[in-house]
Amino acid sequence: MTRSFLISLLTFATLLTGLALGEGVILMMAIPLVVFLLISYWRLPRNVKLSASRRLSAERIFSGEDVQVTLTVKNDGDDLEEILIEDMLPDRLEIVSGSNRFLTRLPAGQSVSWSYALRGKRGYFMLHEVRVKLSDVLGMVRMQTSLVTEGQLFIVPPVLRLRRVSIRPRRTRIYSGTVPARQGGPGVEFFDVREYQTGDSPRAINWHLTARHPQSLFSNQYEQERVVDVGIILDGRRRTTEFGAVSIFEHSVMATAALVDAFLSAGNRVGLLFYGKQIHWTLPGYGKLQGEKILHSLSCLEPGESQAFSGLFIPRHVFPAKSQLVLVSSLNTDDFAALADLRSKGYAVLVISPDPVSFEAANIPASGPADQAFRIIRMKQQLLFRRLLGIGIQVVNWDVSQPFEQVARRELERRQIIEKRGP
Amino acid sequence: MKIRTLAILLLMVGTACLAAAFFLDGRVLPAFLSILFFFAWCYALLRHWRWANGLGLLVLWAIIGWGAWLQLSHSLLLAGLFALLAGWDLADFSTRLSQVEADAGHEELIRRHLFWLTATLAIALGCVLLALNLDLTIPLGWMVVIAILTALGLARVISHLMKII
Repeated sequence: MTRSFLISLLTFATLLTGLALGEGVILMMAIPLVVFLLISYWRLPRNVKLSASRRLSAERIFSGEDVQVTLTVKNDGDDLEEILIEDMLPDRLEIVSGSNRFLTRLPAGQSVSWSYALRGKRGYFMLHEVRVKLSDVLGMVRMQTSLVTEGQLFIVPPVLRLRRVSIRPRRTRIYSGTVPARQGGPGVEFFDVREYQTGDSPRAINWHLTARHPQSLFSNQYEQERVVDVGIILDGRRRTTEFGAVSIFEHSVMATAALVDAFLSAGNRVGLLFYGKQIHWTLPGYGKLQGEKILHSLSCLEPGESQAFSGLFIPRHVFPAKSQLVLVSSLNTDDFAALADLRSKGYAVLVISPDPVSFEAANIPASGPADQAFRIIRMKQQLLFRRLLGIGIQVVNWDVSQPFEQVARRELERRQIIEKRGP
Repeated sequence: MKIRTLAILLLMVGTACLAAAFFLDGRVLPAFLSILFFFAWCYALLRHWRWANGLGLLVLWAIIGWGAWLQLSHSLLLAGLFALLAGWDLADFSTRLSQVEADAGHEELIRRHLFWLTATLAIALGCVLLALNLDLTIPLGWMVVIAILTALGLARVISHLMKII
């Protein structure tokens, strides 16, 4: 019940009762109420002309960081005796300090400005609406209007620094980088020995071999190191495990951000394919700008369900032939065929698998049947990993309770034996 | 002084006047009921139950009307009425203030609200005192015309206020 409705109701009820009973004193009781109504009517703001602007201390922050929001509302209309300004925020943003609501008086031609701090989870947020509630001097009438402001906020996943991720696809690009190119030339790692040719550095002469063949000179060849194409595939199918606010998908996103940073830092060309409710493709590119593009893409991604993409179907045409693919996915036994297909086409495939079994086990109360079920699933998972290893796919099974940097240092920094078995 | 404290004080004064008016007339039950409602209202106010303000005003207003019909002390009833009206307004205002964090802008807001509330009640009191002391003899025809015009005017003001919401 609004105040004006209540006072109106009381006024008429009092007048009618006074008239019905013929009591002058009861009629007089209506006088204060009528004065209330008339003064509200008199002091009502007729010309409401408000504008709002918003300033963010940063439009892009990492998850867990704070952003300062400064909101300014200007009054170009009549005096506003009581104005409640509320900045409308998406659910996933939380206020760290200050308030998104502000109650004040705003005379004509003046503006009011205040700040508060926000924090939130990974995502892309449009901050466009400011709701304003206006009242007259006595608060009898409440008008509500919305003001449009500009504002967007990217909360990107934290980027873990990985020192090196060892990969070795069959095809490299022409620019020098850090990935061994299976070709002799300038480099660090020993590759081959050939007969000395004009232009070879005297330092490269292999004196041991030359001593055995006095008629010839031999020089060492080193393995060239070049940049490569890396396609990162992030699996966002809904079957990924979720427990309330905790989701294994968030771990996948974090690992993807770390890998993207590591590959781009090494000078490689990196593209991102998100595979979930729909396919989202970030075109390959180099450098920090590409890193930002991918982080922005990662901030917007949400896992989802789609019948068309329920199985793993990776569009090969978006990845250069024989390039390096990194799949970040809690693997399913049905996914083997798709990965085998990629491998058969000459792609080097690395799978980072945030372990859904240990994740679920940590979130489900221990019981006999659950333990049994976990053992069965674990065995099926191990079998899948072995089959993948058999076709030359390296799998990193990541128990998400451990930091990804630690797992990556152990599993990804050194070259795996598997490379020698590749096709 | 905090607005909520001021609201409670005014409600207390209003209820005390009302209870005294009934008590002086030897009616203990309505006096007791008024006091009971006052405590219920205060409790609701402390819990920030906004809906209770409207209900409290309706109930106590009805009790004042009953007192007026019973020809109780006019001065006590009027004092109670004004105190209750002011208390109700400030209780509602304090609820609105409590929805936001305390800020420097509130001082000016509170000052303006108190000024306008005092002005409104002063004008209303002036009108009531004038009505109490003025003895006009108006023919029935004019009375009917004035009553109709008042009703129409009030209805127009109310409809305008309601339309805005």
